Amino acid sequence: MERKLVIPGEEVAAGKVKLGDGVYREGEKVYASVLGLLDTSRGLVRVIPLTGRYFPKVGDFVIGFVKGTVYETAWEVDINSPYLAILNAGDYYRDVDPFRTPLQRVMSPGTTVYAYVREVAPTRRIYITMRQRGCRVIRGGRLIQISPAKVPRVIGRKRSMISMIVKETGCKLLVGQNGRVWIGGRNAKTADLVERAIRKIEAEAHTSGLTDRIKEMIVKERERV
Amino acid sequence: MKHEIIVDVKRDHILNLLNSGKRIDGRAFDEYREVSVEVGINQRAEGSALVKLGRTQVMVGVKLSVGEPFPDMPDSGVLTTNAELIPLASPSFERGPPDEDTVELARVVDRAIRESRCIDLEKLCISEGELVWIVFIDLHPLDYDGNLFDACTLGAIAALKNAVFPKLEDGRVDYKTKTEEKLPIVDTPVEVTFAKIGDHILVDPCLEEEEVLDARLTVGYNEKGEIVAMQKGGSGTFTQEEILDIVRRGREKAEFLRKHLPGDADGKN
Amino acid sequence: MKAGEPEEFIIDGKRLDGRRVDELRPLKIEAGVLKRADGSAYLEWGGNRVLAACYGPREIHPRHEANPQRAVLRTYYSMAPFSVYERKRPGPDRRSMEISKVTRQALESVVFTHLYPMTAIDVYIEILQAQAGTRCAGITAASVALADAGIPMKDLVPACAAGKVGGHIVLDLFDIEDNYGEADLPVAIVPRTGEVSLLQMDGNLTQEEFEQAFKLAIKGCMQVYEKQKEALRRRYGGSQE
Repeated sequence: MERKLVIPGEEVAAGKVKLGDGVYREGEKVYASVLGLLDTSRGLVRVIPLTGRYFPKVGDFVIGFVKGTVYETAWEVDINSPYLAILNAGDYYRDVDPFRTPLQRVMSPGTTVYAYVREVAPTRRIYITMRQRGCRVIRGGRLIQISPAKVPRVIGRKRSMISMIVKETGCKLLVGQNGRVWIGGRNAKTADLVERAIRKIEAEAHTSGLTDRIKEMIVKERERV
Repeated sequence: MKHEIIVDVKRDHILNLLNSGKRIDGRAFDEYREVSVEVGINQRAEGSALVKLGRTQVMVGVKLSVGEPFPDMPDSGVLTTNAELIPLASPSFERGPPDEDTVELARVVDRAIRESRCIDLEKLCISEGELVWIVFIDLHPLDYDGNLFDACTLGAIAALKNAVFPKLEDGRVDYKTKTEEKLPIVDTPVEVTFAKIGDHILVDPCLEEEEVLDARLTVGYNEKGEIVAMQKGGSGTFTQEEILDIVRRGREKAEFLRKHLPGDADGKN
Repeated sequence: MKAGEPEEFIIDGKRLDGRRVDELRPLKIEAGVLKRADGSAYLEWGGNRVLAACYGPREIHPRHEANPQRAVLRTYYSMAPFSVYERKRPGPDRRSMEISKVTRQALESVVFTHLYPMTAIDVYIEILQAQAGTRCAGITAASVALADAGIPMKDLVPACAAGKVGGHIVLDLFDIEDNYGEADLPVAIVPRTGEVSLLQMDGNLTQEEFEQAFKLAIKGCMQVYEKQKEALRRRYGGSQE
């Protein structure tokens, strides 16, 4: 399926069509508002951005860095987006009483967490929680940053890409919608391979047959590892 | 410069790699990133250079003007080094008057240039006590990916060697007319920066390494390998052996950097 | 005549740099040239060398500058000390402040700031080498940097100046023409609709001369627009799956 690269201001559709993200209507016509790939496959007209920062949506899993505490009852977490995320004491994965144990001691600045976006308030306050299955404090391993626009490709349709990588390498992998990826597992060479694979996905996200090529690359190179 | 929090997973990862003899970008502990120096890229500056050190990019411009000498040095030209950490180059650079990081960068680069006496300032005297050439070195990082000291010093000396005098007529400079006469440069000082992370000493820290380092040491050398400048930074410490070792090893690193300067017509650097 | 002023600006239909009256200086644009910025562009336009970077949308500091209804677009135009013949002292001056302001307003007319309340979109324009027309070069580069950063907007914003020199209306003045000319008219437009988002003029023009120069500047803008699109297409690889 060929998807056309469009530039802001370019006409992409006309008449009565349903609009998705990345487009705007003026009169009868619809135009692209972001630089990206035009997609009309799902019964609506949208542009998939090829670049840009991460905007939190409810249901996203993200990797964040604790920056500090707010009002002694919540942590401020950097999730690589223009909006700072708040993790209330009550949203920590186990019970803590902030008035008995200062939150700084539970999680100090610089701690890395895998968390879930539970609310995006109209004021653009982002509330994240760790009481969702899969959330945890991250230790060890390595972090890499990819363009948030490429995350869907790293996960793959129905998680096909990420499952394949984990299966073929035996490593642990956490992918945040905010473009942060954590690679865990004991073998450093395998982690190197996974890192290379993810960078390759990022570079070739727009091509077809990618899952097969990445699998080929992993199978070939893990023999040497 | 805004200082960000240190993410423990990032620091731990870098330290673990170092403990097993590796750096985060695969380099050896005493290896520089790819270096490139282009000169004469700017037509308004009297001398210019663009230095790339990995993804760090710095543009340096040398401008010349005329003015009064300092009263205590009536037959000597004037040298002044200035830096701007423009926000374009990094999310951690903020607008406003020079902050302590900007001032430190300018002064450390200036130190190597000045103390090596690489510019023969007496040749810049036009009329003793009245009129001398003033040399402005402007350091302009464009993309900050670690280690501005080394990139800026290399750029400064490259731009100085590239510089030609503009025409001087009746005490006024005609910037649009260039002469063939180059600035009197008699040495090529170069600075080498080492970072300490845990117990490991690394040359040319990249951005990720700079963010987690405990201490850094920048050493400037002239062509003879003599030390002309030093600056320790960071709130950690070095042992005395580490300092001696760095100063010894830095000399050949300086020669390595110096090789990237465009040569003179007679083949010398 | 001023000191150093040329006798003639147009000889046999050619200007002092060899161009026709309606010809742009050579223009090259490259998108995505910096590692740290969210979006960036480098531009060479005649003797101008301009670098533009966009950071954002990002958290706004100081917090009290935040707008609960939209993103705040902050634009800073600056000239490097070595960008001009007589060294420019570092730091903002009044001219840079005015250019920053009109640049910001030109870009604000297209950016969908309402999508990102409480944030800042910061645009930095650095003139590395100047040869007249730097504000148009800056807006042109900034517009590409914004698109490269994925900022949603109505359209790109190309800019171009026209003017009057030696009695003739010409497109895209270079420094000699700008110094000794009779009028300078920088213009920026929204290409799809033709709306004008920047218009300034200094000098002296009759009604007819103004109309002529205005139309010429707009033609120039449309040529600049093609270069902007080309730069983005080259960076992002054209048609893909």
